Amino acid sequence: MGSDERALINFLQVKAYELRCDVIDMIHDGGSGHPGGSLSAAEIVATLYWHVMRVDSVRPDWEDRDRLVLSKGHAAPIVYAALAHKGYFAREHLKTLRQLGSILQGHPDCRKTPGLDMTSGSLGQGLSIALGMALGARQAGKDFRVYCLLSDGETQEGMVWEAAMAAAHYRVASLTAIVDYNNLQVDGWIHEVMGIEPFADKWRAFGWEVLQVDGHDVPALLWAFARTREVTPRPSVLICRTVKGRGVSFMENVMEWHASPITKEQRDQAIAELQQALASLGTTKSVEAGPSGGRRATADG
Amino acid sequence: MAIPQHADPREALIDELLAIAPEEERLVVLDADVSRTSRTRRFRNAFPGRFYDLGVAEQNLFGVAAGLAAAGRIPVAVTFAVFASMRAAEQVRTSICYPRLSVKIIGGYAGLSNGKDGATHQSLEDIAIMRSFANLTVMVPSDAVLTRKMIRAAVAHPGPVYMRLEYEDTPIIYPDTFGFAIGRGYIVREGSHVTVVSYGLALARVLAAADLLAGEGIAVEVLDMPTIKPLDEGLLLESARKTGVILTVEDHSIIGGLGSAVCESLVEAGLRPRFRRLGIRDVFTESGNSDALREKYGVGKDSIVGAIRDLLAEGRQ
Repeated sequence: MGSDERALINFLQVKAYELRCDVIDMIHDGGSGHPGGSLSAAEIVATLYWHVMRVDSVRPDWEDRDRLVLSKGHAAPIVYAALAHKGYFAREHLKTLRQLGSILQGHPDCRKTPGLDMTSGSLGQGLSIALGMALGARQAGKDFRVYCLLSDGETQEGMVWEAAMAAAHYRVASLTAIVDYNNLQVDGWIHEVMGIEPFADKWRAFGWEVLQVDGHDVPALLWAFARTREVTPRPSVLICRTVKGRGVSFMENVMEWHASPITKEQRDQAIAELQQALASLGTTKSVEAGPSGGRRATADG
Repeated sequence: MAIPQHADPREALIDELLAIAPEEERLVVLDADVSRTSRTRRFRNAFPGRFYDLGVAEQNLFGVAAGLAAAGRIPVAVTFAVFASMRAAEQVRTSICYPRLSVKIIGGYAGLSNGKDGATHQSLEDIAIMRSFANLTVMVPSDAVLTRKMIRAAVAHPGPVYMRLEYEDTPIIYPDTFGFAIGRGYIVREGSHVTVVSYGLALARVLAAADLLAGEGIAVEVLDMPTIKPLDEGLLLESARKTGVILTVEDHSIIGGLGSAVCESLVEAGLRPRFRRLGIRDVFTESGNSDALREKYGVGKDSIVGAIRDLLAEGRQ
């Protein structure tokens, strides 16, 4: 592994924890939100925004940009944090999450938040929309790619499988689904509420290329996303094994942290833990100043 | 060439889409396994690269349409009205209307126009449901001429549109030169004794009823409301003030459709005309010939004539 690659991996690992800090602060300030499912997606979101996706914070409506549909819309805080870090809007907005008049709605509203490609929140709808965007690229003769982040529980919605069937039928190789498989849903463990196994088999049966990775393992995510660009003519799905509430010891694998406010005491303890993790990664939380456009993680903030 | 007296709105819709497609490269048509009936197959044959069949999956149909619109296309998504308004209601509301995406939703076989298939396939609630979604323009053409003008206007309109379409040969009411505009209602017959407000295929029956009553010295004013939302309240209230007697007629439930919309406007404007809604009276229908169903369920020409006579008789008491 070259030093460039090592630097990229470390950068993304650090960025994931920086985003986690903002998620905790955001939900504490907003008085409500979804910590568990936001924290579990931190490495995925960092890798997407700082390496995989062709995006430009100075041009949120750039026609050739890659798109992300946050189908698990309740994880909005982690994406809002990423967008702020990338410079789509000023950091000050983060503390206004869910407040009246905020550009940061409880679930993604693409008409209010610069950098959001789609409105979402009602589970199950995002993959269809992502498929439509990918077909739109094909119609326009463009080569942008479309990513769709889903939750594991969300795949209990039948509509997800309608989209899966259609994406394979239409050979939409530019579409990549990512499932944040943190094993917990609102009513309990996935396998207790409504089992989705054999999960990888289901996607293969629907005609998708399946990549299974540890969703907190940055090198594995990098490998998997790179692999999706080689796979044709099938669409690809990254099944990412994650921990709900990852990074905060009292939130990890605890069902109640799906949706909950965060008290001052909880916030302080969580931030302390996250700062410790950042220190062991070789840095402390830094504040991104100003917009940062560009494509490659090592080149921008 | 003889001017046709009757035409099927679904052919007219496709005729116009075929005319628009060469000029508007963003246009794309979607269907959910009803392309023979809806005639979108004709579009597929002419523009195979700009057509997607999503199979028997209406929720996905509208999600895909939303994504296409977000990526800069103008999707026309076609299915039966009953499925567009109910199977995919949430997709229409949350993925299309809330982000205000420029999807044109075509709900075919609306009202009682699919008589033989029965209640599961007849759409008596679509106007009520679609009317309740913010950002959505709701329209229904009353003949093939208006169908063509309406879909052209819908494609050009910057936002989501629902167009209800009844699949049946219907008399031509409007001249080819007619200047249609979204949001405008039209007086298709002037009168003074009673105002009848209608839309879609029912309009032809209303006009037939008006012809009959003219022979009895009753002057019926007939309003066509091709745009249910936003309703042309100005036109409605002006006619209401003139006649003081209002009847609404629709191949739709009396709950939530044009009748309700007209009520809302009249009462909020402080008017107290004698008023009655004709429509399906909160019951499920059944299989049968479409015209026979309309007679049985109270929206046929005889029912319209009877309702007008009743309203005028009430006034004389």
